[in-house]
Amino acid sequence: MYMMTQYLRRHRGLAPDWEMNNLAKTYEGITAVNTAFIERLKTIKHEEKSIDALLKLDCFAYYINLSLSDKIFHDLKGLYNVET
Amino acid sequence: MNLNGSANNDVIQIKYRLLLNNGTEKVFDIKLNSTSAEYISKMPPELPQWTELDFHKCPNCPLDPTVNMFCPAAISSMELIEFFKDLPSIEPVCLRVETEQRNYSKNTDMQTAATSLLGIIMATSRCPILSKLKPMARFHLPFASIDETRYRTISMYLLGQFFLLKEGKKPDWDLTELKKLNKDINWVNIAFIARLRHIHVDDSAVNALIRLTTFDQDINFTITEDSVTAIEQLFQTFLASGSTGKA
Repeated sequence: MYMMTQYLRRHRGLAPDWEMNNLAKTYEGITAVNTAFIERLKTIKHEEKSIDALLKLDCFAYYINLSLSDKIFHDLKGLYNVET
Repeated sequence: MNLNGSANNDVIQIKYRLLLNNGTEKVFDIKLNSTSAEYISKMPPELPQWTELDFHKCPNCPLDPTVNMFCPAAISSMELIEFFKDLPSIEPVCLRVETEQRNYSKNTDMQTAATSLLGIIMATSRCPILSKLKPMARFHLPFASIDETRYRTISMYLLGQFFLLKEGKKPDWDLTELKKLNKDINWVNIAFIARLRHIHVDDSAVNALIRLTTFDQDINFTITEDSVTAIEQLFQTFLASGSTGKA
C-alpha cells in the first residue's frame, strides 16, 4: 500500500518517499491513535474484548515498525531474486 | 519467526478442495518452500510428450532444452491439467481453499477454480518468466478479481523496485519493465494453450489460461492508459500535499 501511495504521489507530481523513510512515522501515528482509543474504551464497562483487539492491532503496528529495518524484509527479498 | 508469523514452518501449505455436483471431492495439496516460494512437486516416473520443453516452446523461453528437457510449468501443472482435462468450464463446484491463516470458500465454476489453481502452480513452478510472480503466489489470494490482481501486481512490483534501490541498483518507478513482463507472460500463456490443445484439453483449463491472459492484458491497459483514478481515490489521505511521503 505504501509503495502504491508513492507511485501515485509521483504520478501527481508530488515527492515520493521510495525509501520508506516516513512509513515508520505513519505507524507511530497509528500507535498513538490506538493508545488513546484504548484509554477511551477503559472508561466503558465490559469492553475488555475491544481493548484486547486494539492491543493486538497495536502489536501489528509495532511489528511493522520493527520489521522495516530487520529480518522480515530480508525474508521477503528472497522471493524477488534481486539480481537483475 | 517466518513470514507466516509462525515459528516452525519450512513449507507453506495451501489446500484446494473441490466438491463436485456428483458428490466426489478432489483435493490439490499445494506445498511451497517458505523461503523461495517454489512449488514442491512430486516428480512422476514418466513425463508425457506435451511436457517436453521443445513441445510448443514459448517463443521467449530462455531455457536450454539440452539442459532442461522439460517445461517446469508443464511438469508442475500435470496433475491439475489431467483433472480439468474433460471438465466443462461451467460445471459448478464448491471450492474451499485452506491455508494456515484462514479458509476461503466459494460456490463457483470449474473455470474459476482452474484459474486460481493454475495461477499459483505456474507462478511457483521455476518457469523463469512466470517466477517473477512468485511474491504474489507467496501471498496467494484465491479467486482474485481483476481489481485485486491489478492492485497486488503493481504493489508487488514496486516493492521489488524498493529492494533494487536498497541494493544500489536502478529501480523502475515508471513500471516500464512490468509492462514488458506482462507481455512476456502473455506469450507464455498463449504457448501453453497451444501445448494443451495438442492433448485435447479444450475447455476449463484452456479457458482458465485465457482468463489469466486477460488479467495480464488488463493490467497493461491500466498502466498504459493511465487509468489509475479508481485506485487513486483510495489514497486521498496520503496524496494531500505535505502529508506522509513528502520528502
